[in-house]
Amino acid sequence: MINWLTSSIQLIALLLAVWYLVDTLRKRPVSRANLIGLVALGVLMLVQLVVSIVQLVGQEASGDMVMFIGYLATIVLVVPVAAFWGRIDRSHWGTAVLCGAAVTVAALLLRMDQIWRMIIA
Amino acid sequence: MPDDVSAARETRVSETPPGEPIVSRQGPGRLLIGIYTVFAVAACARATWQIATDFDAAPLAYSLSALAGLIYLVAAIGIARPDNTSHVVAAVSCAVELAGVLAVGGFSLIRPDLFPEATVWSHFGEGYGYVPLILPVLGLLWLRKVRRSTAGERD
Repeated sequence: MINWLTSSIQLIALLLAVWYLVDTLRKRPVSRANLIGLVALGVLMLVQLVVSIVQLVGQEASGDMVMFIGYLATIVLVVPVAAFWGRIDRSHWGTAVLCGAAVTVAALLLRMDQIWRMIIA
Repeated sequence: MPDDVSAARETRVSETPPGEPIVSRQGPGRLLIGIYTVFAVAACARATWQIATDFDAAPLAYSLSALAGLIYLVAAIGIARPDNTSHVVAAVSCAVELAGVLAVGGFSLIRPDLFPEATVWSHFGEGYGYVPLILPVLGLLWLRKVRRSTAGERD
């Protein structure tokens, strides 16, 4: 994990979560801007995916690494699933789904960082 | 999230629900299914790995994590399906989950020796932002709201 990159992504995910939460509380359905924000988060997930793959090459295989890859696959998948699952709901609860996805990404990145420290230790 | 509570309170006041029946997988249900799915995947994946590699270290804790994962999965599917039986199954899952998080949470504080490794439910789900404690309550409130909105049709 590249510390500054992961921290930045977490911060962006949390800011997006706050934005989605505000829109949810204002009873706004998912807007185009909301989705563009989520797409941006998805791109960052792909960046994290590439960085992680590059870093994982050459590391010794271990149980921690399997867990790490599991979390990595999850964060990459959460964003498109949330985009679809949130968009088909025409109420503000679609925006709440986006909020949940952004929080999930931030939380899983935290967990990935902890596992990464075990892998390189 | 506060909307859930206030919405549930409204339902309690008006015993005869007005308007159309609520679809369990729409609105707040959609968010619940999403969170339940993430937790099901996370708990099952973690438990599978722990049981496969290191079962002897904490058999009770790892088995409970696996059980929790399965219960989350059943709850997610139960809420997502439209029929009444599925909702009963989902409600039972939520109730078992609530009992589990309270029991394991309590035991993990009183008898930490039983849980050398953390489970999803240890310390009332502290390691998961107390989501495991809040989720079954929200699930039960939502299922009750859905049931009340459709009760008029069935009876």
